Amino acid sequence: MSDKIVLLVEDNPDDEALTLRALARHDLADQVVVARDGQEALDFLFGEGRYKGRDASILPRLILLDLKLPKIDGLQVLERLRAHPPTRRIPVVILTSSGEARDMRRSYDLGANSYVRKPVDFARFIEAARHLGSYWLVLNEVPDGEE
Amino acid sequence: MSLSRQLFFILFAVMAVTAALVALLVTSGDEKTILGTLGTMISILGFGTVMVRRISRPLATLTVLVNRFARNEPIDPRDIPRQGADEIRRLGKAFAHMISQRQVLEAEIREQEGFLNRLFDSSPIGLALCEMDGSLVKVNPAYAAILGRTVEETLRLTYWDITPEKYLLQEQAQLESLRLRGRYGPYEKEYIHADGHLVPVRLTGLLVERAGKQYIWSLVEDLSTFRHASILEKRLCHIFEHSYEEFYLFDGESMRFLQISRGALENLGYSMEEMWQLTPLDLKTDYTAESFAELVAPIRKGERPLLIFETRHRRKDGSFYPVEVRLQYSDEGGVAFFFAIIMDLTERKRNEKELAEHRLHLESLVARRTAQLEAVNRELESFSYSVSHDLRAPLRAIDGFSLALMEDYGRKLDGTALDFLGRIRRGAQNMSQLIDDLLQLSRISKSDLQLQTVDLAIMATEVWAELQATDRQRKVNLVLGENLQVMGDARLLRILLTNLLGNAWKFTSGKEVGRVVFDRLQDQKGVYYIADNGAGFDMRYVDKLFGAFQRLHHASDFPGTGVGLAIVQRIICRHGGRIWAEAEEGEGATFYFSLGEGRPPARHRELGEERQRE
Repeated sequence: MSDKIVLLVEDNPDDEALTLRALARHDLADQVVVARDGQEALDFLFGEGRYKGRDASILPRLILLDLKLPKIDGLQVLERLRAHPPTRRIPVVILTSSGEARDMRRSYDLGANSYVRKPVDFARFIEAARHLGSYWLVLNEVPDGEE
Repeated sequence: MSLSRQLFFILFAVMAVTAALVALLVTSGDEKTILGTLGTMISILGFGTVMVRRISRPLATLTVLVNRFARNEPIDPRDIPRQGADEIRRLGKAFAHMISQRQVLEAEIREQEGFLNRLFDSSPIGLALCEMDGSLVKVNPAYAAILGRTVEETLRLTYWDITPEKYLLQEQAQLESLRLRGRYGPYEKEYIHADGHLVPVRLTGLLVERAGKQYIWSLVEDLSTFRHASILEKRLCHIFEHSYEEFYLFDGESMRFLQISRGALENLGYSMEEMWQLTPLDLKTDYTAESFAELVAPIRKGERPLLIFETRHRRKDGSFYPVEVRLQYSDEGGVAFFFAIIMDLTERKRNEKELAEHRLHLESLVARRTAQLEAVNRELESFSYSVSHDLRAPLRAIDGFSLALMEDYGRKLDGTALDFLGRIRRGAQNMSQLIDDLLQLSRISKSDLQLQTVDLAIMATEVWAELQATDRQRKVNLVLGENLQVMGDARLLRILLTNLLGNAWKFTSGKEVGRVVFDRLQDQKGVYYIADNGAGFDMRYVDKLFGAFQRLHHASDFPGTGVGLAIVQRIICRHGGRIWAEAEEGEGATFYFSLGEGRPPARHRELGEERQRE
């Protein structure tokens, strides 16, 4: 548990840059891994595809998951990783532009820990990211991954 | 000379002879002769006495009886003398026989008379005997009944009392015929009924004589019922001959047509003469004699009064037309016949077919339109989804990188450059708000209403607290009325109040002390209002107030997207209510709304007028 790995699943390079910047500014993660679509995110988590050979037992402390993604969308990613015991307990924060109640309901139903709507006002976004980071990465206690 | 008188003379003659004999005897003085003469005298006296007892007295009795008989006085047969001379006895016997004969005859005559009187009285035809001057001598009850009177009443009238004046000339002609030919009529005229109306009658009459006096003997028939029946018959004939409807009479036994309406003849193409040779089976070719008999059996047996069925008729030219048949049967007065009214269903069938086609067309049209609408809705949904995601992303980039510039390179930029960056960020944020509002607007139309009782006062207090939290420096008072419970969708009503109170909050920003009132109208049930003493607006532009993106103020004075009141109106609409506004520039605005309590549109103007009068 030395590295605080954060998996950012985001296909929009602007949002990616801004999110990375916000995380960096507040020094919230040791390592941020970016996946640009759902498949890539799953590959990283399960050590498959481009991430073949990666030690899949090293899991991120937090997943920031966008919903609207190429190939496999955010909700499907959530569904899959909640279906596998190793990834089941990773805190997942949905970070999305969508304010649709439908998306929100579905996210919680599938086991999202939090749902954050990306604000346009980026200062507020940084604020939100800071809160998120400090809660999920600093305050939140997770069970031992070796279990 | 009567018989008794003759007898008296005989007796007197005998006495005279006797007296002469006595005189002769006295003069002769002969004793023998005297004695013989006395003997003769005694025997003559005895003979006279016998004569009186046996002939004279019965004859007198008989005479009295005969006189009584002549005077038609009652005679007791026991009074007829049975003694006396043989001739007298025979005479009495003959007389008694005569009396009994007469009694038999009299009884016969009385019986005859009674019979004639009964005939007279019970005759259904009016009979009247009147004198030449018209006075009625004898009438029967039938005659009196024609006049609506009793026999006694009628006998007090003369012929002229019951004859309307218009017939006087005609009557003179009939009297003339009577004088010339001894009879008149038959001819028709009218009598004046006791109640004043005229009764049509047919008369025939004879001149009769009795005891040297002339009378008119009249036979009178009441034609009222005939007349009525014949009028009815004429009308029925007219209907059959002229009606464009189809109706048929056909015989209950032979089934041959009796009478057909013009409409039927024209539709079938047959003449009346041709039809008389046909039966319904010639038209209703879908039936056999057996199946038709079976069909009509219920009305024939009287089990049903009317039979309605659909079939088709074959015209003379072989073509068919669909019909509805309404059949009745009658055997009143021993005459059995069927009466049928036919409805040509050609038109109706065509209409039904057309209607069915239309319906089918409409259904497919609706299905197509529904599919199109569903497609459009899906598109709209994905559109708004994509708006909510994709439109916001570039805005975030604009805002985010502007912020990054300000933060990371702020020291290298001058004031103008920083101001520009500030404007870029505000622009992006406004657009984001606009997107949110638009999405909300579209969501209000889509969502279902969840009706429940909502206390608008509590809700307003909460909304107001949120507004106050945005600017603690401002002093705006909210005055809430009482009893602000309504039926409505709580989520939508909160959006409604957020917008209306938000407006009131926003537009009172220029006032030192703002005042907002939320209450209900006292004089109009179900109408609520939110009034403020803010900037108000020009009533000339009130029409634009509730349109999306319509703004009556400059953004520099009052920020906003121009979607808020459009959202408000849509929420009111969803509840079936109405909203309208009044304002004066610089003095404040009042928004009135109802929630489906059915306020007629005219009230808007009335309300405005009331307000003006105040």
